Amino acid sequence: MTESSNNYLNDGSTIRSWLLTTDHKRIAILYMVSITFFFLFGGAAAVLIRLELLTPEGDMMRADTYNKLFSLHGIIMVFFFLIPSIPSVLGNFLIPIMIGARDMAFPKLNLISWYIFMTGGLFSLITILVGGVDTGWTFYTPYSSTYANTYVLLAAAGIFIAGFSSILTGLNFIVTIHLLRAPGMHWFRLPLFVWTHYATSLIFVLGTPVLAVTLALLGVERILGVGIFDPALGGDPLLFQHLFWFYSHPAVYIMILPGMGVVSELMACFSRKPIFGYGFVAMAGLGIAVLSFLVWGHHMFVSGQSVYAGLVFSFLSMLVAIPSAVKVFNWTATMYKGTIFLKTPMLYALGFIGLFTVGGLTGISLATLPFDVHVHDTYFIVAHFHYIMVGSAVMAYLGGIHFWWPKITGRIYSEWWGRVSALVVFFGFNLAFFPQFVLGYLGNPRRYHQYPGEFQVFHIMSSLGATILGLGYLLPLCYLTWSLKYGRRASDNPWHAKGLEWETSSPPPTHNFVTTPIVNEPPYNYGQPHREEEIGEGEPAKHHVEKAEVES
Amino acid sequence: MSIQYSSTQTVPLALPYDNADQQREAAVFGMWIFLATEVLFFGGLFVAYIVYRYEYPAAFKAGSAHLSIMSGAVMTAVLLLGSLLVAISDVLIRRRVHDSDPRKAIVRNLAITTFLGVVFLSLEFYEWGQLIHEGFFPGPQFNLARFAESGAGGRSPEMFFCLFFFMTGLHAFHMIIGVALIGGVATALYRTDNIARHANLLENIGLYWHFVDIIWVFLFPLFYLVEA
Repeated sequence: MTESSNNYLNDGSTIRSWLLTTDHKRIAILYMVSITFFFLFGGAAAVLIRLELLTPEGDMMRADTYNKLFSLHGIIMVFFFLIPSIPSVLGNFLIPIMIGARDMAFPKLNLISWYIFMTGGLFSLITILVGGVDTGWTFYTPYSSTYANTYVLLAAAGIFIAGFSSILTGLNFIVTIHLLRAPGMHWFRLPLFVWTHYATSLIFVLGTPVLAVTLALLGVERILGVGIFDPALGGDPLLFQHLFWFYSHPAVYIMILPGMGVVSELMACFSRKPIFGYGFVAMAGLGIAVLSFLVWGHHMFVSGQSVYAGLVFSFLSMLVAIPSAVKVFNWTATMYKGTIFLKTPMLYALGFIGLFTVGGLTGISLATLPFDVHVHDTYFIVAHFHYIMVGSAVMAYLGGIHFWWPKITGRIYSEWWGRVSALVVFFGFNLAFFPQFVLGYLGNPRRYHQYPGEFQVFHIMSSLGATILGLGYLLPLCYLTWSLKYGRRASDNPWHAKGLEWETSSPPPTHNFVTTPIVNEPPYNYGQPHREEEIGEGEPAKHHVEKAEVES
Repeated sequence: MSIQYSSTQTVPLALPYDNADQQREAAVFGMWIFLATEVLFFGGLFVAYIVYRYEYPAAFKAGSAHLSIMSGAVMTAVLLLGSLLVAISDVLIRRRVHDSDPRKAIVRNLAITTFLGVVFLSLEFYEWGQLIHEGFFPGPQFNLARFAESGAGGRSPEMFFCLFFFMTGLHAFHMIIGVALIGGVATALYRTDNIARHANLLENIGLYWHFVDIIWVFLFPLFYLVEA
């Protein structure tokens, strides 16, 4: 398929045709551009933080500037990059195609979601411009409600608004997956990518409203000067934490579940085998979503909640390890005796499994009450959640972007640069965050711009790693952009992968399929062997053939 | 005379759908999910209510004594009657065969519901006005002196009114949207040639309206009927 034929990219080229589009594929592109912008913003804050931490003294900035920087980094990265990353970009693009639908169930609502998201983002950017916020991304009361003299309301409003974008996206996914599956695409033929997005959507619609109302209460408290969460006025600060983490712990699974979906696709494709234990992997995703709502108290082991509650939350948190391990073991079992091709997306997927395992195992350690008390609010926590939220989630996002890039853009990127960047990201990430486990265990608390001199060597390693990581993230930005113009054209199915998205053209036509596909085989029906040279290459030959036909 | 409406052929079909039934199912399913998010939204507030009522029982008793049970009961009745009328309209618009043109009855029912919604909001605003006048609006100027005898310690009575104004306020916000929607769909049905066109719309708006009613059915006893 050549680009001169009709596809969603050349179906209108005016700004209006992009900003008023209801095509889920174009909306996905809008999200991709927006969250890349937010990622650069949040990344810049991280750079400044790591620069300050090169030396034990607070010599580059004052404490309150540092507080604003890590708050900004957290808020932007969590709410405006990680949460929308895979669902809003890849999910938006792929879910209708993967199930054989023409669009999402509510195309206009999909576009509205993007506008709501951008409005929330605008509030956050204004917050930064007028002076920032210093409460951390968690907005703990009563500091945020009574004492902080920064722009708490503005920042909270941004998150409140962006939350409705998540809710509407989740709603759209659920209805789409339920009702718009093509003939023959029954539930247990759905790609695991779709299953994990279904689980993610459940969290979107059930968790996000609670965060919204919590932030609204925070706003009321700040505006009226009442004490809903202020103990000095009769309020209960723990209530805020309960409500906040009721959403924000599931939110971590919003970031990781879609990544698990991406990795499932990559594992099957690059091992040339059906995914091992498909049903278990699908149900494990739902299991994680359900459990995610029962573990929020593990953020509050030292906050003064009852020890008995702590014990129950500790136990429930450990249960999350079961479905997570089901997934990891099934991915490795998928590779067993497979024909493994170490293409760029697969390198990212393997990196994901490694980093997720470290992040997950340290998560079990943290679910243990006494150990958590020891490392609470130290760099150990920072390292743990970065292994999940950055190591795993961003690895999966990049892996997915590389895997579906030929489908999304119709172009092939440089495989060599792709592999290099995957390795640089993996190496840089570990150098940046592994030393933080040590730092935390030795007792370096998080959220301070100064630290005792004996910790410096670990902080230098971390800052060096962060620099390499940053480079690793910038590389794809360059060569992927480069490929848009200079990359070879992609065939419809450059990876020889299974799934409906590979049966339509690259890039897909506006309504995804010329004729509605009919599904008559199980998912991941891999079997035919391929030579490595066949995988992931452009198809200049076919292009010539068509030209020759025209000439004759 | 018998009038026949065929809903399947007259609803314009949107791009993602194969047929009218699928489109209707999607619309209604989407609304149910939205209502689930609303339940969670209010759910956070109900949790806060439970926590503070458990912590400050005396304050809730004393605060509730300043609310008018009569007014609350009338508001409840008004809402329930409105819901009944919406439910009847929904049955009428879906019925394929009618003895007479159902449009008149549907529009009348919805117009009455809109009016009842306005009555509800008027009663609520009046009560808020009274309470604010007596100094019960939360904030530094809150009239704590009125509760000196009640045995409610600290600023706990303020917490009752904090929750009261926030929860009834949020409910009223939903009511205002609901009144606009019911009024809007009534107008649309009054003007259209073919009422079946708006059947899905009426069903969804009806679902929303019933949801807002149900929230009130919980708010009324929680605030007005605290043991006197």
